[in-house]
Amino acid sequence: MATQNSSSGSREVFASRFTFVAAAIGMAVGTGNIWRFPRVAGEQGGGAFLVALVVANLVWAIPILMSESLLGSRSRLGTVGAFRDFMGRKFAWMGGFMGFVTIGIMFYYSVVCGWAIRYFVYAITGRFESGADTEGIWDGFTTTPWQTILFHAIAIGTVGLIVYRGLKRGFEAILKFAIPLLFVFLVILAIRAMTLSGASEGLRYLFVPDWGSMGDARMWLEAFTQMAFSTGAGWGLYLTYSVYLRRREDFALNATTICAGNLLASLLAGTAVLGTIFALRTQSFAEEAAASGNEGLAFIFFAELFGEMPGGRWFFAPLFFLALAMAGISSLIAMMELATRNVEDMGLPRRRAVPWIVGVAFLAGIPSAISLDFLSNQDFVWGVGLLIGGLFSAVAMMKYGVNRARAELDTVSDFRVTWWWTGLIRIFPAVFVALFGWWIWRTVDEFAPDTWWDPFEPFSLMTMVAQWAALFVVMFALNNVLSRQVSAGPMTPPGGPGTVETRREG
Amino acid sequence: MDVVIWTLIFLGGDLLILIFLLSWAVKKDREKARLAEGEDGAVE
Repeated sequence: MATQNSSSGSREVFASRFTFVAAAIGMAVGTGNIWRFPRVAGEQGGGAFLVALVVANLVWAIPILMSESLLGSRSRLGTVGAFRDFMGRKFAWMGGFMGFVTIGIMFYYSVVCGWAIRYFVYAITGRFESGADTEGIWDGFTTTPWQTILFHAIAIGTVGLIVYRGLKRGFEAILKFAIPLLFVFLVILAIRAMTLSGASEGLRYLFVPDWGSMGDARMWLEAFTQMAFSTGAGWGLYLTYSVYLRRREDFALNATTICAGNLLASLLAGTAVLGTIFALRTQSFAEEAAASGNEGLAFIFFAELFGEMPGGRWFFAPLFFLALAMAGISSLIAMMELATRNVEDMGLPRRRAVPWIVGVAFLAGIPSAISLDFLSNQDFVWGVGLLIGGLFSAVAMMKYGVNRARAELDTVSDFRVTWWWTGLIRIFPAVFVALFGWWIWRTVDEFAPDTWWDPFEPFSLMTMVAQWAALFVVMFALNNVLSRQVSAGPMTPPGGPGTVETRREG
Repeated sequence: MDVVIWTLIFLGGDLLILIFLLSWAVKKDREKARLAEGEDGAVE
């Protein structure tokens, strides 16, 4: 078994670069690639949006993923310990904030994975025949709490079993097969869509650029938002997987490969979804589907089409919902591992930590399983909140020393990490202010213009600020406890965290 | 025709880039392994 020693004991490491990259792509590829990307890409100008998305990956995702990787691989600790050892004991709360934002997402994301599993079961039992009332199926399912709670339990329980077994026997063993298989499924779905008569209109909607939208600030902000939600940069998930990196593993090429793989999954899913919709329906149907939101697009509008597609009912419907469930579960695994790594760092062994986390996640996910409004609120609050995690990663690099971090990245990376990385980290706060400010403005101007001050309004500014403030206060108040409780890693000074300045690892 | 070209540029282009990056990673890993073997040999 591949292990490496650290001062906190031996730590399992990924067996190969391929398995690490596969796991990290699995972390990044989620339900958003399949149901959010096609909707937003088509609406925002097709190919022009894709160009903006590539720029967003280069400017935001790759530098932040590299920063997270440095934080995790050097500290060999979860988010709390990594921020403590890179920035000093007064900053452990930042890792706690980043971790809890992602854990907040995990609570409702398990419910979403449960939906995908339920729809896979519907599909293999032939529910999506021609003329199926998919809106009735969706309403019937989501208004039956025992069903949504049961499938939420199945999702979180399955992921718990995988994470309980650790890296080698658990998530590495599963993901090295599951992620290539997910791509095979997406390729089959995309080819099926492209071979349907009339699919070219869907491809036009997705790929042909509307260059006029290049000057539209909203299109750029949508591209940066999609990229931030999709790649997982700033969530702490890549940081967590990097704890298990082999020594002297590359940073730059891996981060670039993961972004390219994540984008490919989105493009394949977009081809499958939009190609099918335009082949079997009209543009107005596609626009209506897009306006119905993520769940409406996948579970009502797209599900309606399987019965009309040759082989759709018994082959392509199960394949689509299996791909959706696999994409969701591969991300949920990373979220649970993030929670487990932090709890393990605080001294609780994995075999005890995972059952606790599964239990808490199950209970905390029940409100989202019962109420779609509650789930939407949580998606909104913690979805926007994860942008803050990206800022924290950049700030951690600045506190540690951008040039010092660059030199460490450059030493082992397969292509040179030079001024471009330091420059992107230094301008990151400005990019963050533009994107974050846009979201704040939208809450007041677009989502809840009359009730932005009401914390009980699902999409108000105040509901976001109140929940972030509560988390910030708790994490800040617990900073010293967190800092003390997390065990020492290879970067922790011999006298304990904060005793002397964090030493540089050779 | 423009649909085919833009689909090839974006979908085909990203696929080619991913294959290129993965091949580059494999090549670099082999080089690192060879170097590590050389260093081990020198130590012995």
